[in-house]
Amino acid sequence: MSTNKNYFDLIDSYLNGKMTSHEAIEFENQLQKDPLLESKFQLQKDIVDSIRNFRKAELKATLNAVEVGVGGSFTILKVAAGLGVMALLGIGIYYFTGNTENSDLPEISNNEISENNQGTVEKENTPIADTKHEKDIAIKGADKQITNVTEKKEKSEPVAAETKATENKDINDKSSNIQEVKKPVQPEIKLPEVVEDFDKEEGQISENIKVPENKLNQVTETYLPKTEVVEMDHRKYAFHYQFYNNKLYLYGKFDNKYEILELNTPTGISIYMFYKENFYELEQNQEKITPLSAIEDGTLIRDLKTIRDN
Amino acid sequence: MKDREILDKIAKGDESALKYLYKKYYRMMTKLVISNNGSEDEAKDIYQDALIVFWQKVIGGQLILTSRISTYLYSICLNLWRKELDRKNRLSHEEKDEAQYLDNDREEREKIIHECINELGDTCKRILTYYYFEKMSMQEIAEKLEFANTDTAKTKKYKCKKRLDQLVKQKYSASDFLD
Repeated sequence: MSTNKNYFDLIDSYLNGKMTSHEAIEFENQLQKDPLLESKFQLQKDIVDSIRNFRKAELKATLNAVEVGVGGSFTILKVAAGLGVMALLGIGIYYFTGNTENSDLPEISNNEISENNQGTVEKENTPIADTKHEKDIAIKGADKQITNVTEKKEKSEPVAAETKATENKDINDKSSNIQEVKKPVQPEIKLPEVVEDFDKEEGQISENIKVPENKLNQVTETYLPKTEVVEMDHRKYAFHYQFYNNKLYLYGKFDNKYEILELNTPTGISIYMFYKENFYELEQNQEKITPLSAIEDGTLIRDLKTIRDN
Repeated sequence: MKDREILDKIAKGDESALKYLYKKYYRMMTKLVISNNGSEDEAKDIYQDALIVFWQKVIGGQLILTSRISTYLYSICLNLWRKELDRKNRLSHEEKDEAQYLDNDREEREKIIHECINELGDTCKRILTYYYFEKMSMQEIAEKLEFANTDTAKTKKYKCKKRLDQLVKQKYSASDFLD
């Protein structure tokens, strides 16, 4: 009888959150070992949950009876628009990329892009490569170098071109998965554009690229986890962002006119947003609602533009 | 009413302060949901839930408010609405059937217990809901229900709970839930 009362008290204080975390863990272990206690616990849990729901329903009924006056007169809006948001959440376009795990990755260079990056990329005159795979690699290679340069620009001042070229090579060797993901919000419009761009640049790029044939069959397709974006209208925050539960929340009226650029760099994924002719850096560990401010570093902007145009 | 006054009243379980608060911010809070793709009913539901969470926290003494009440309520509404959007999103994709099945079972049991709670006297209902939902201390319950002292509240709570357990067990075995 006394043990019965004892269990009753134990279950009760567990369900009402009155145990220390240590006691709670001990109690949970006991539950696992003792099926009879477990079934008593389950019944108590059902009862306590029901008492809570009973009270909640009571309070809700009280509130429902309150006349809210002017505040209550709304026109019914956007009932179906919920579907729109759901669709938005799921949209993303991925670029395929090469698996560059091999440490002796070939040097890949591109005249046009190296110029954009102030000649920091080693050049090589190479035979024309024109299979589909080679083209993919060429473009990827270009992205990768831009990404590397971008990384460096962020943390260091310009160094002599030669040094940079070597450093680039080092980073290339280390980096395992360089990808670019562009996520236009309106794929019906963006998708065809992207394909056109590839075609247009085929000639220029392939002329400057050497891709050893033995590397071709190592190319695999890799998907990046996409960043889910949710636009929120907030009375206080008009142009802000935050990351919450691995999702990006944008506060303000963006009208879906933003683009998210995810760049896979040797140090992790960097996320940028393009909106109305400006680029914004989005820090993934930013869990507080933070104002968006445009990037002002000219070289970084140029690099991002190059990536975006691709 | 000033924030401080509202908080003091709610801490004592004064429902009139809850109603006052509900009215005061109804428009502001429901607008948040409505302008983020929610219907008016959803907005009302979220706001009520947020307000009840607030009520629980203030009474349970778990809340040290550093901002204005409206700011705090707004952030609860925002989080609840995000969760709801997530839930709707997930349900529209998968596991609808299984969730439905589990819900039915739970609903059935809850309905039975609900009937049992209704069979209790009003004092028992108050004691048990104050204890398990508002998480008031025995002393607060004694004051609120004008008992002689804390021990009276404790004894009554124990008896009410035993009574409810018995009722539930009877109904459960009658409907083949246990054994």
